[in-house]
Amino acid sequence: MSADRREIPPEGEPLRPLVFAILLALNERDLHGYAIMTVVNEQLRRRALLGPGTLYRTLKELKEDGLIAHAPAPSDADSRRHYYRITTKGRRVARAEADRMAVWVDAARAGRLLGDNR
Amino acid sequence: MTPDDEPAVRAAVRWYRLLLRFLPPAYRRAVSGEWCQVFRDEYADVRRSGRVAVALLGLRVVLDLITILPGAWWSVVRESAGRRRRYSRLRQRRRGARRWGAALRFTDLRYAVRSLRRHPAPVLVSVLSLSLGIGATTTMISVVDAIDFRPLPYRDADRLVTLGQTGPGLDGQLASPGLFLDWQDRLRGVRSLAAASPIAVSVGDDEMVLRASRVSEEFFRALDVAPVAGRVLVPDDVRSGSRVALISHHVWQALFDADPAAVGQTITISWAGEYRGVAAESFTVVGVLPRGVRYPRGSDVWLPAWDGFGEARDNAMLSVIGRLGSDGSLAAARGEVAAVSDQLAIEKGEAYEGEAGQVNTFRDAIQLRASERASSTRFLLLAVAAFVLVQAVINAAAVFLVRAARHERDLVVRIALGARRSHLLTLMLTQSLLVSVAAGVCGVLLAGWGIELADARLSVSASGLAPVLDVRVLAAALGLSLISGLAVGAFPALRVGRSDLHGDLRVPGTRAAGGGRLQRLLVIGQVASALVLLTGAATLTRDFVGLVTRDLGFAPDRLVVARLPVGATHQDAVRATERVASLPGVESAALAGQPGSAPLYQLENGDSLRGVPLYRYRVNPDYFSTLGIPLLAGRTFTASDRAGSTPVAIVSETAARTWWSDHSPVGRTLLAHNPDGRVELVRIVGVTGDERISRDPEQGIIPILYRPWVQLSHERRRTEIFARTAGESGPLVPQARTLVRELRRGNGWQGDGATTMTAMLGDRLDVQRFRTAALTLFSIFGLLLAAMGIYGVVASVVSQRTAEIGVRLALGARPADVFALVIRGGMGLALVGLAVGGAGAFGVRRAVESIVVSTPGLDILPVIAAGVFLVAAVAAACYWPARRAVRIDPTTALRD
Repeated sequence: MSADRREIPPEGEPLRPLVFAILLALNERDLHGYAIMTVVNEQLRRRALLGPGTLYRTLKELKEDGLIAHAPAPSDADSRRHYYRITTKGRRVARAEADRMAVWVDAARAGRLLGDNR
Repeated sequence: MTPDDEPAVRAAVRWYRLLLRFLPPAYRRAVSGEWCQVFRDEYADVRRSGRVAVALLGLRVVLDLITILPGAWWSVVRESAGRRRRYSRLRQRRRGARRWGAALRFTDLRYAVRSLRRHPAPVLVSVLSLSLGIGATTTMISVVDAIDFRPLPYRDADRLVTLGQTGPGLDGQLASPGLFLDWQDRLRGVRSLAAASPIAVSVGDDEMVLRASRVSEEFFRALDVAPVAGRVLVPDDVRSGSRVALISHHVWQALFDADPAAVGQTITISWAGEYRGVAAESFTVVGVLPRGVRYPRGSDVWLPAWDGFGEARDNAMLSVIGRLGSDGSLAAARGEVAAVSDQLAIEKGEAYEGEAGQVNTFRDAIQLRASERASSTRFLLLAVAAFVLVQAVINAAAVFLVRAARHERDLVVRIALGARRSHLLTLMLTQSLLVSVAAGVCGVLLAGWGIELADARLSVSASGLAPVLDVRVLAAALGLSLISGLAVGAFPALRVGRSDLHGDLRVPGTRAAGGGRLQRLLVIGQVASALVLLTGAATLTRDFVGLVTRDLGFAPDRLVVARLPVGATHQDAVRATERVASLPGVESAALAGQPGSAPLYQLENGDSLRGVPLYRYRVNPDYFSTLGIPLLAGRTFTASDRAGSTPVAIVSETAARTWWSDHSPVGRTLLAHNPDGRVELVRIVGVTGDERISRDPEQGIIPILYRPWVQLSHERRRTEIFARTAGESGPLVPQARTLVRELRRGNGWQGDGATTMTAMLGDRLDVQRFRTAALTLFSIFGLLLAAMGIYGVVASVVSQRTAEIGVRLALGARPADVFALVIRGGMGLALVGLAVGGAGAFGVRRAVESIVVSTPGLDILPVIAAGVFLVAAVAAACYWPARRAVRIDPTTALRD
């Protein structure tokens, strides 16, 4: 039987991969929309599906949930671009997600699912 | 958008903005700026990787938009409803809606893709048929749009008019230089009167032969079109005789890769014409006209007419345009032109009498020109293309219906577990939209090719209106694919919408036949529409065969036609004919041409021969024997009909019937008023059979009056040499071409070369061939779809009734009975479809007949032929399921 969602640690719901990827991308530095898209597409290796519509809908949700916020644009940047930065709450949520994943990865390693014995 | 964006990027962003119009306005305003910025960045990145990558990006953003469309509209609708009523319950539902909107993400799309991949064959057929339908419809939309709807690229196009000369053999689109000068002097209500004369040029070293126009001073002031680069030609260019050229968008792309730096560069233009001694000169490109501006007559290059057009009155070759004054109307301009014609006739006498003028609005004039070839055909083909699309939608709907029936248990389980119906609907619509959008993308690719084909075959561009795959047409294609997708998804969605789905969980498998009725209706529709298409195709094919095989009045095989240079003199023509006659393999050679300023003829009773279309030809004595035109009475021309001997003429059968009704005209006389003022009596010496010589194959028979070559004064007009060969005429063509080229090279003339008569006739049937081929292709396609549809229904009926058939067989039914049972099921559907389609078929046959010339009277044959063909196809489609039914093993069937 595969892992049931209800057994996931109570710190938070698992994040959707797209959300996690965006938070991860913004964790390093502030980025504008297209840069986020490029980084995320690389991370998810799912170039065929993420378009501006999907990206901005997700960014909007993240803003509403207080996980990211608008950032001031660097002085040399194109004025048409909006920059985003991750909030403290966003960082906390992303870390929780990473921890949650780490737990599962450790478990998988202990269960010899990962590594040499598949 | 900034000025530093390249045009291609700007165009792409425009396209994307157009796409975003599908979003609710409030939503769009909030997001479009940033989205466009991201799209612009990505497009700029991707476009370096080539066209495939760009196409993928296009597909991706369309899919992206489709995924968020339902959520976006939903949120706007809910929000406005919430604002208006402020019910807390509604607000709660809005939260629900947001959750629902959130659910429609990758998962839905992924589900759709996976589920479509599970049974790929029917889905692929749907995509293919839809793309053919969308491609064909988009192609014809682009053609019809170009001719009828697209705003002309000229400022204030309503005031732009064309002027032309009417009279025998003149269609009111061109005017002679002499008349143009008179108009320029006398017309007050039409401003900026300007003219252009055609000239064939070749550009560069690679001998790209193009149509060019030499234009008068005011030409571009009248046309008033903004160039995409550089400037247009101005009066000073003409007055000072500058060697400058304006090029079309097409040439700009072909020669300069659409590089803005083309302006200012020098190109070598060579031409041949009546302007002897000039072979080639360097021209500076001063500007580029926008795509679609190719007036007049599909021009690609515009040059200043620094040496004018001359003053000839017998050669209507100028395209004349002008602008109505701010207070002038079209009617007033027409009145003024008529008044000028009357004035001229009074002042200058009889020679000017035939020169009536015609004024048309610019769009009317070019529509007339475009219609010469594409008129009713464009609407017929648009209707047929739309029909094919409808058929493809029906087919795809049937496919999705079967899929829905197969997945019904899946749906029922989802509902039982609490899925919302609205979400399930979205799931199904996502699938069908995915298919239709994929089809739309393929369709647009097809249309890109189809538009070129249709343009070439229907000669639309030559009228000055170029069908292009522009934003309007792309939007139409997108609209078509979205509508098709919704229509395809609507049928299965209807089933989900029904409330009785719960019951199915209890008795699995029993409802599989439930989709049957709808599916049968769809199949009946398919058969009916296939019959309609087939009937149209059969009627057109018969007409085409009729046109190909009809009696032309002369024998077209083993005949070579060589067109002499326009500047060829009398001696040149005679000598060239003699040389052709002496070539090995040539049985006889004839010379024929149009007389320049022909005499006006009067019958013995004083009636003029004017007013009825009449072809006048000057031919040499061998003409009738060489072409194989039969002599019905009297004699043909002989060597004794010389210049100075009794003037003689021969008339065609129809001419004899038109003017002398039942009496033989042989021995009668005509009074000829020559242009130089001489009046002479012309004796009619013979009557020959009619020949169809018109360029338009659908035109009826026109009376012809032949005069001996040597008895008319020579002018530089179209002259043709006909050569009858002993064997195949093909090998002679190169020799004749060489001969024409020699004549041209020596004199700097313009000539079109040589070809066989069969090839020439074939070219004239281009439109007919194109529309017949298109309709036949579409109808065969429709037939296949109908056959597949019937196969699907019959096969699924057989698989549902396996148990029943097993019982029947166990109880002693003979295999032949079972076979008949299955066939009957399929045939029943086909017959109902035929009955429904029969009515439509008669309707379409009428419509088709209105655009073809043959097939008089009511003729049921094509309908019957189409019906028989369809029944045979249906029988074939039923055969395989029937065989499977016969082979059912009763014990296995009952046990399972």
